[in-house]
Amino acid sequence: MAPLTVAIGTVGIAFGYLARQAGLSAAAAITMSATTFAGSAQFAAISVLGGGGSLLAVATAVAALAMRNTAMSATAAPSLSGRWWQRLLLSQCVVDETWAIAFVPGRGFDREILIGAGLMLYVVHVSATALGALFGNFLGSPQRWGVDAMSPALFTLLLTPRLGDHEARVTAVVVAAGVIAAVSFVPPGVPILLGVVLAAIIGVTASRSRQPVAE
Amino acid sequence: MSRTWTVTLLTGAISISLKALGAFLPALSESARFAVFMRRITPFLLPGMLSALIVVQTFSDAHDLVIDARVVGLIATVLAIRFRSPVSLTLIVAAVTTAAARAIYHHLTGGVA
Repeated sequence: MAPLTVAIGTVGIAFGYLARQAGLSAAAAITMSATTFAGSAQFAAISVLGGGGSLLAVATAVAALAMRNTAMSATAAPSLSGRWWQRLLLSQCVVDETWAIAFVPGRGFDREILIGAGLMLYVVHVSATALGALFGNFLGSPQRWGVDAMSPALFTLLLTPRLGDHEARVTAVVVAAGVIAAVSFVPPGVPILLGVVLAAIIGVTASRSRQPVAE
Repeated sequence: MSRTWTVTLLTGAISISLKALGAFLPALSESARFAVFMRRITPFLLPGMLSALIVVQTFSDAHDLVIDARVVGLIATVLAIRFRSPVSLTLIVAAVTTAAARAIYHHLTGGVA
């Protein structure tokens, strides 16, 4: 869990800094982290804003990136049971990192990990954003420190243990190829959504045929 | 309301709604088939989504497919994992190698950092 905190914290600081560069006040940057709690959607929003994009362009990029959250909370839904307001709150804990670590093959999603990790990462994400927004100027550009490499490194760390499974390996490779093919032709955010759809199609096909996917 | 605040609240509202929507989908459909379907595709969604995120965050710059210093960081990450480096160290290795590759590139090309 500690490494997740390190990565989320560093990325949060980078977001706080870049949000100020894109013209957000510190209060707005912190508010965005507190309400959105999804790094990739936030970076997309400020990069479209900084690039002079329209509100529609912002909404499209954010929705394209956040749509995978719908798929994630839907798969975790059995572990998010409760009254409607409990479901609403619990669904906000389902982010890339918590979703990836809470999944136990054959058993589904561990509710306690989702909530525990969700709360902890939320606190770290919001406070790191505050640090970056208020004091980021002392550090300078996050790119200079290679901070933009931390998020893919974290996802690589989360992916590696799952690759022992043949079907998971095939899915990862096919999706990577599909995303690379799509990047230049669709708006930012959409390639990841396409990747999720592609993975779902592979999943449906594989479980229909009940045979391993051909490599 | 200023434009930046509009963007802030719009981003938050979209994200909150889309996360919540997923949690209510099964409740709305009330079907066991939906649950079975989700259980079936999750083992595929997980590696698929992580793979998509890694590729996009390493090889893309908005609309373009690019190869830059981040590739060095990704290779270093894979090597660090291969040699069983502790997780926190792996993250630091990724950042440091990317930063170093970027600095060397800018030095060689005389570009602006």
